[in-house]
Amino acid sequence: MSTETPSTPLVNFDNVALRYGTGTESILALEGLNLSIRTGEFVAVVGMSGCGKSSLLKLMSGLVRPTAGSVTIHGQEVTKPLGIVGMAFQNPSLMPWRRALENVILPLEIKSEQRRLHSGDAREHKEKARELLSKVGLAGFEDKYPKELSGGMKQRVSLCRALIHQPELLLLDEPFGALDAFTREELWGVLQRLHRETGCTVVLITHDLTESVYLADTVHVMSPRPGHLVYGAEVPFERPRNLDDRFNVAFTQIVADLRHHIAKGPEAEAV
Amino acid sequence: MNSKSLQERLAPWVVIIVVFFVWEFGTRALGLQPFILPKPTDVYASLIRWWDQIQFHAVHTLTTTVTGFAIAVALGITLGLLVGYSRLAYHALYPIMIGFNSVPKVALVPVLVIWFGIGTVPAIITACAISFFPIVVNVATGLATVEPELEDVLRSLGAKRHDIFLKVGLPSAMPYFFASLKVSVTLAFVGTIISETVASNRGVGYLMIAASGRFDVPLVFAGLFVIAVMGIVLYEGFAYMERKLTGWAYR
Repeated sequence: MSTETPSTPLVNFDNVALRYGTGTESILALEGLNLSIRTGEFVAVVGMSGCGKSSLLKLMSGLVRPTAGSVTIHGQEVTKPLGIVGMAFQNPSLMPWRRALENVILPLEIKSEQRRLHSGDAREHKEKARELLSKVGLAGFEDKYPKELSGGMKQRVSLCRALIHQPELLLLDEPFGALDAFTREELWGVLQRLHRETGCTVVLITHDLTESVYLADTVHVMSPRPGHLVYGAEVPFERPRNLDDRFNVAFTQIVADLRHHIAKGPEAEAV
Repeated sequence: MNSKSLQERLAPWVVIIVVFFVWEFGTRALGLQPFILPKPTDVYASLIRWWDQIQFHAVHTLTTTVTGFAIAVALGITLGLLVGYSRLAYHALYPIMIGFNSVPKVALVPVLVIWFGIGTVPAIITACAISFFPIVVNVATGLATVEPELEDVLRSLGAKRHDIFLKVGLPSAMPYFFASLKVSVTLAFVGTIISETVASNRGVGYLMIAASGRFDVPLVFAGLFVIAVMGIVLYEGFAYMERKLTGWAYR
C-alpha cells in the first residue's frame, strides 16, 4: 500500500457508456459505468469474458473515447492518449527483432523522440532498463531475444516495458492469464513488489478471483454486457501479502462473496 | 543454417546423384535417342562443347533477370507498403493487381515486342511483371501482422501512426519480404526465359529455341541445366541474406 492518502481520485468514470460501431451491428460495451480510483490504489476488475473489461482500460489510456459520460484523469477529461499509462496484456507482445533490454526501452524511445531528444539518452535508458530487469529477476537476460525466453520471462519483460517510463497508471489486461499456476504466483509477488516500490496506481483486469483479492486494495465486479460495476469489495489485508494468505478464512470469504456476485450473470450455469 | 547434421548436408547431393544415375541408365536401358531424351553424359558433353556460347547467353539471361528482379523489388516494396499502410489503397489496388497477376505473361511478350522491339527490354519487363506480385503480397501481409496490443502500447504513449509504422510495421514485415524474394527471384528467371524464347536473339531462352530448331536436344537440356543452377544460386543467396538479417523470426 502506498503511504499517501489522497482525497481526490486520480481516475474518475462518470456514467460512462461506450458503443462500438454504428447502426444495427453496433455493440454497447459499457453503460452507466461509475468508478473512481485513488492515487496509488491497486484496483482489480473481475467479470465474465466479453463484459467490456478491456474497454475500461482503453478508455483510461485515451485510445477510445466514451460514447456518453466522461472519463477524467487528474480532473481533466481524457480526450487523447496522455502518455502517463503503462500497459501489459495477456500476450506479452514483445518485438521479436529486439533483445529483452531493447524491448523494455521502447517507451523511453517514443517519449524522447517526441521531445526531440536523441543522442545521450540511450545510455541512460539502457541503465534504467537494466536496473528494472534485474528487479524482476532477469539480470543476465538483457541480451536475449524473446524467442529465447520462457513465457513467464517474456511477461516479466512486458511488465518492465510497461513500467520503464514511470507511468502514473499501470493498466494490466489479464497479464498472467496464459501462465502456469506456479509462474503466475511468482509474478504476483513481482507485481506486488513493483507496486510497493513505485507507488503507481494499478488497474488489473483478471478472471482469477484469487489473484484479484491477493493483489488488489479494491475488487470491482463487472456485469455482463453492457458492462457496469455491480459490486465492490475492499480487501483489508496488510501488505506485503504472502501466498499462504490465500487459505485464510477471511480471504476465501471475500473470494466466495465475489463469486456470488459474478454468478448472478445470465451465463452463470455455464461457468 | 547453424548445426546441420552430416546427413542433412549430404542428402541433397545424394538425391541429385541418384536422379542423374537413374536418368543415365534408364535412357541407356530403353535405348532412347539423344534427340528424344539425352543422357546426362550427352548433356554434359554438350555443355563442354558449347561452353563459350552458353556462358555468353547465360550471362545475358542473368543480367536481364537481375535487372528485372531489381525493378520488381522496388515496385513490390512500394506497392506493398502502400497497400499495407492504407486501407483505401488496398481496396483500390488489390483487384487490379490480382487481375494483372492472373494474366499469362507469355501473352504479354508480343505486345512488348511491338512497343520495344525484340531483345532485352521485353525480357526485363516480363521478368519484373511475373515476380513483383509475391513481393507486394508479402510486404503488405507483413505490415498487417503487427499485434494490436503492441500498437496500443505505442499509441497510449502518444506515438503517431508513422512512428508505429517505422518502429513496428517495417521490421515485422521484413521476414515476409525476404521470404518473398527467394520465391520471386526464381519466378524472374521464368519471366526472362519466356520472353527470350518468344522474341530475342540473345539469352539462354533464345539458345534453347535455336538448339531445338536443330534437334540439338542435349544443348536444350544444357540450357535448362544452366538456368536451374543459376536459380538455385540466387535462391540460396537470398535465403542466406534472410537468415542473416531476420534470424530473430526463426527458431
